[in-house]
Amino acid sequence: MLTLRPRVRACVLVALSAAFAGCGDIDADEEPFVGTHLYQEPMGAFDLRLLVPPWIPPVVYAGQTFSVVTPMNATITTDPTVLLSEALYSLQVSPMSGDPAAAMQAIQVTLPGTGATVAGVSVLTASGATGVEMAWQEGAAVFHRDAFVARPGTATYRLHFTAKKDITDEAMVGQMIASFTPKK
Amino acid sequence: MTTSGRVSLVFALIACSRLAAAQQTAADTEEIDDPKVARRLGTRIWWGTSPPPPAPAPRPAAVPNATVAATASTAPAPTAADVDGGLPTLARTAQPPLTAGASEWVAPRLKLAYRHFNFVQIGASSSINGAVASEPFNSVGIDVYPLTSLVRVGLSSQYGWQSGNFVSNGDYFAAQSVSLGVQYLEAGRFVPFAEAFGGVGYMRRLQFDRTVPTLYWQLGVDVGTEVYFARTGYISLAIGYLRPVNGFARVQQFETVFVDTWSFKLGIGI
Repeated sequence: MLTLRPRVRACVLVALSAAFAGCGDIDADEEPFVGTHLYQEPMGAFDLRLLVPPWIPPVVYAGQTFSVVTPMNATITTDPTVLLSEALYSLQVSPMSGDPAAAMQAIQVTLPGTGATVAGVSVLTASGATGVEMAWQEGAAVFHRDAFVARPGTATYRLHFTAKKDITDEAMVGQMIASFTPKK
Repeated sequence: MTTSGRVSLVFALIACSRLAAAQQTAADTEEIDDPKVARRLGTRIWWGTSPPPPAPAPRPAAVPNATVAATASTAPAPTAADVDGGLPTLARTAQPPLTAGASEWVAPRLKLAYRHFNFVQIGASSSINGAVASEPFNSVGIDVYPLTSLVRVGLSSQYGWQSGNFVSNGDYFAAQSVSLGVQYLEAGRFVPFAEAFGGVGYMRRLQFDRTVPTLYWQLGVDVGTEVYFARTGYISLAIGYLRPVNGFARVQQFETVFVDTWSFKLGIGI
């Protein structure tokens, strides 16, 4: 029977461990939303997946759940207004009344200027929730994308994204919408 | 015996010895070939007579030019150590004639290579089921082979970028790899090879317009061939299996994500 000295045995174990760890933990072809963090709303209203970092873990403020991607020179503050105004990207999740189409219509009529640049695109998430989304521009460097989703028996939720560039077809934003799971 | 008789005997012996010296054969005048014997016997002393003149040096055999002239260099002039008693003892160094084939091609030592493979864009998906978006990568690298014979060991410095975004607007990585493989140098112009490699480096992920520093490493196997177009120049073609791995922070955990993919490698080297 093969016997090894303790030091040699330890080295072999370390080498084998390193080899297995070096192969990686998660197969990106097998696991959905790979690399993202699962956020669960404290009251269990919904789940959401996002990259943390660069997103900061979501917080609840004044009935809204929000998260931001801060710039490198961000002001260190707990004031949500400052955080949202400086953010490269921001997300605000809030419950809405009515079904997704009605909720979007209620928001659409209040939009400034020419309204939505892209409106009425249907949404289907990984959890089976359905809804609609629209994109619109508020200013020269203020772009929005809103998704309204719900599942049978749950409230309608508005996912309100804001960025400094057009995010209509942004795949990373699309993944966040696709991961949204209404629960209440 | 009387005194006069003794003197007569001495003179007779001297005369005989002179007569014998004058009748020495050519074999007696030849140099001692074996250096050990020569050292043991020392310098020959010619008692009462002068040494015979050296025999004329034999002419070196003519070397047919057709066998070596095209490939062997001209032999250097004999040095003092190569001359014994004025006779050159070493006309030229022996060199085996080169044969056409494997020896015509210098084994790979340096390569500039381009590789293409698919990785994933962490955090991006274009499908509702959350399948991660594919992210094609291109890379260029310098491969050096400090050991190159039947077995070859290589060091590769590599820079890769997200296809379509060279530096500023996408993901990129820089990695250093080590390879170990075998190659068949006797095949002539085509040198097939197979090598395994592994490397580590830095990967910049651009996520939501923020630079996220991550770790990158890779494991892979390449199979291909070097095609020589000159004695010291070749192009290289290879396909291989590659497992790129990305390690990054997820909240307060370190997470590693990998894919298994094919890669294509094209290079030029000396």
